[in-house]
Amino acid sequence: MASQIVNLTVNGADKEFIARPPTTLLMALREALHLTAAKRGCAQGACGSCTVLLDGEPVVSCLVPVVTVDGAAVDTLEGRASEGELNDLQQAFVDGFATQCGFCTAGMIMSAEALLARSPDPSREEVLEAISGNVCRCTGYEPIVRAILDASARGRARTEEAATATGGEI
Amino acid sequence: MTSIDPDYFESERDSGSGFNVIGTSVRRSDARSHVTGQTEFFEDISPANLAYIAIHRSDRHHATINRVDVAEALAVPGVIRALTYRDIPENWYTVLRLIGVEPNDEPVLAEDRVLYRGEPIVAVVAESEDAARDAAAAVVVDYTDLPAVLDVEEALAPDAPIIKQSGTNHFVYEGHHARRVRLGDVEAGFAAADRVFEWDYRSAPIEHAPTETTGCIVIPQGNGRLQIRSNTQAAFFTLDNTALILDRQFTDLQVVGGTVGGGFGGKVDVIVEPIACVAAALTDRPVKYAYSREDEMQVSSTRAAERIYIKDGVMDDGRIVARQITLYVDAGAYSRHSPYGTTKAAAHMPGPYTIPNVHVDCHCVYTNRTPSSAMRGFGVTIGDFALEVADGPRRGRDRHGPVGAPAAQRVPGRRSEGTPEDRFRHCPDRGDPTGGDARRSGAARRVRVDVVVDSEGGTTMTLLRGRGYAAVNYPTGMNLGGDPSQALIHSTTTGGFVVSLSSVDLGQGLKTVVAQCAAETLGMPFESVIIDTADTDTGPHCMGTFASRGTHRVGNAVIMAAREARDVMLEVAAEELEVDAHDLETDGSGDILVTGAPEKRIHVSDVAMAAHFKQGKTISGRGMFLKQKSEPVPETGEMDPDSCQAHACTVADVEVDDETGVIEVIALHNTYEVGRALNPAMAMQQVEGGAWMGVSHALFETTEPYYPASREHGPVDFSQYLMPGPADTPAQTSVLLERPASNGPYGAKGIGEMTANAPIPAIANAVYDACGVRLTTMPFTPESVLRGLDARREAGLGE
Ligand code: FES
Ligand code: FES
Repeated sequence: MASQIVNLTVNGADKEFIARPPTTLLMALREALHLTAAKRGCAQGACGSCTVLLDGEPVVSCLVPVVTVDGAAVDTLEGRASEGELNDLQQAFVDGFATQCGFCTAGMIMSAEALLARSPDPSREEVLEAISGNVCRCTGYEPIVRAILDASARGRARTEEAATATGGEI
Repeated sequence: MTSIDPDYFESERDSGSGFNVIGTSVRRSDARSHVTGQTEFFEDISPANLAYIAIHRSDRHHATINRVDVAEALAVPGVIRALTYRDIPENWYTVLRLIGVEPNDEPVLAEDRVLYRGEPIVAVVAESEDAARDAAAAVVVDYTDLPAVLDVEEALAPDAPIIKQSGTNHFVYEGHHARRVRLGDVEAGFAAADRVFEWDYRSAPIEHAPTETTGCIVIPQGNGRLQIRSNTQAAFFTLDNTALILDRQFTDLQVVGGTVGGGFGGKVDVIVEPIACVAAALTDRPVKYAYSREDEMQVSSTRAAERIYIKDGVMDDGRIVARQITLYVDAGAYSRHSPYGTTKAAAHMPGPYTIPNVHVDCHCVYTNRTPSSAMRGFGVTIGDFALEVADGPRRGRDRHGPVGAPAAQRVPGRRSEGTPEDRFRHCPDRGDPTGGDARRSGAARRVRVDVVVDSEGGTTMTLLRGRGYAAVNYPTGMNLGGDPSQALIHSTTTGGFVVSLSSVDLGQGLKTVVAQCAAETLGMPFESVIIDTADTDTGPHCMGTFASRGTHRVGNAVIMAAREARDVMLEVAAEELEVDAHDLETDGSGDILVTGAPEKRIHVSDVAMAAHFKQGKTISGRGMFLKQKSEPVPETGEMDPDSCQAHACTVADVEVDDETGVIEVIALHNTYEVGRALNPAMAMQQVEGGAWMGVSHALFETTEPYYPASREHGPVDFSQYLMPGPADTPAQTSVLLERPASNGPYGAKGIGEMTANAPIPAIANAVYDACGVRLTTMPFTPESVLRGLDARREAGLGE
């Protein structure tokens, strides 16, 4: 099959590149766009280390043929910190010692990111469900679960603070 | 310096609580780059003109190779060339030859015979990964099958097919024979014992399953040198072995590593780098050789399967007076680290007990299976399992009586609360768009659960609760090789310090803890120290990161280097302040001050500038930690296997479902004696992550084929290789006990490995406590629990 031009909005910026049909979203991110935060742990959809957001939904990018998502918005870990400031999840992972080797971290944070976007105050069970497709061989998961719950608490605290500052109107 | 007397580190060890940075949970130095995606793993570099390697592997257990035909492979578009053993300058090697143990017994690429399924025969180099894979599949090999031996005891039978050139399936090698222990008179001990117990224990091979697979990229430097970007755990093992295989000067190679997506022992072997180097040298192009997940699961080394027979003579008061152990380690087809692991097992098997009469024979046996090698708990994990399970039921033997579990412990008809479902989250067919039959074969366990989950999600099962206990010890380091580590340190003109190491941070946090050691010894802020790791051009020699040696060995070398640098720093400061160097001290702020007159002070950056521009001195130091090499006494097995022993105890609470045999670990209570916790939060990371791995080993993990009779099919990915997911993780409470080790950095011991060991026997003992079933084969499958329950019922012991 012939190569195709693919357009993606990656971390808010428009990107155009050429891909051959077997190219996965993971390969395109890593090789064409040089965004290497998403990792190849298995290329079989079974480890979650390549998780990114596709139009806001978490996907294992190693199983997504990139030509099928032309025009989509993709978010990767590289786009999370703004102006060098870590976001709540990133800071909670650092503070909570939720990384060891760090190979699963990008996928974990992106899965958690999707969860907090749809459910800012998740239950522990929702957190477990959200990262159930992400393998971590180092941490035993618990620090990661705690960090995600902590990030959600940080988000809530900020919202409340903002509400107080604006006299209750958010 | 060739040996360290026990009090060499006395001042650091005994300075009590007056530390600036030791004992504080500073944030990991790599955490920020992990959470922003900036950490560079080897696969994140993309040199221009990169070529890729794929391997044609044996599909036979044991066969002679009559002919290898690469014509069709070479015809695949994009193929650059195909390598066979003829392209490898020194084709035979073994990893541990550098420390004088083990013969060169493994070919880089097979010559006229293959000894295991998956053995590499031809390496194809191509323009793309796909082309390389297609071409590797197009290689044709003509074999004549030879009889294979896939079992350790069969391999030692008198008429077994012999698979080694040495003429025996039993490992024998000059100067390396400590696989026995003789203490007292074991026969007399048995004769005097009130009772004699005999049990045997088995374990299946286990895969390290790091999230990042093993691999490297080799980049020719244009000057004849090759740069190896690798995720090795041992940069100098890689450099030295690769140079020998290439028959080149060591200076022709540079290994750059330092970010490893999980090692657990699996990235100590030097398997991928030599082939990639040969390919890069022959094609003069950067070349990548990375295991696919399937390679990682099927052909990377495993933890050896073991079989252990224990006979104990016990007195009525509970004392063990005689213990006889026969242990078989399945090395697979080649040595790698298994002979060393066997030696370590032998030294360990007397256990943390005082037993007057001990007789241990450990056999390292070659079979036609995937070579086994080092893995977390190296040589000790399965022994701990056997020792502690053997001991557990004996200690609690009267607890059970004839019936399954005391009524108070039962939780009849407990609602599932998601338990059975969540347990299998990583089984196939969960949102798995490519799930084919092969993937589904891992679901056998799930089926058992589904049949008892009723339509409302409730269950008909009875859950039996139990609590088990196990205590283990773990030797830090690898003394047969003397186990050296070195460090260099120098200051920058702005008052920072760079510590150069060739050691690797596996994710356990080595860089952070050794920076803490350097900062503490220098009396400087933690932030002023940066660690340059895992580069063989800039870092001095180090054995590598394995055997729980990193913090201990490297930390000591760093302290020694930092002491030397501190002396120079104070000398320069003394000259600037016009006082005696002995009157100076540091307070951890970056200032150097006069004792008793703290207003008289100078900042380290001014000292560094003065050293560099005025005094012509280098603020630098070097450290070398070497333990005296231990030679075992052949007759008795006596040796000094370690520098210090760390200790751990785990209590496990489990629930056993008597309908399905499923064991759920509810909670683990860990107590770890760590010497000193240099960074308590990171020590806790090790303890809890390791305990999780112990649970995983106990309940799930095996690389055995799902249909063992056919020996055809082992797991190929994470949906077939079961590990607990987030919802299966037990609650943990952990306590760190500190009892500073005499020769550890600030009293620290190595703890990375033992953390996985204690939970395994603790869980087995908890299951026994819950339902009277003694589990002696790892992993503890639901089937084995059900078989045990059935046997108890048949014997009139169950309900
Ligand atoms: S690399 Fe995509 S799920 Fe493993
Ligand atoms: S931190 Fe290593 S895999 Fe999660």
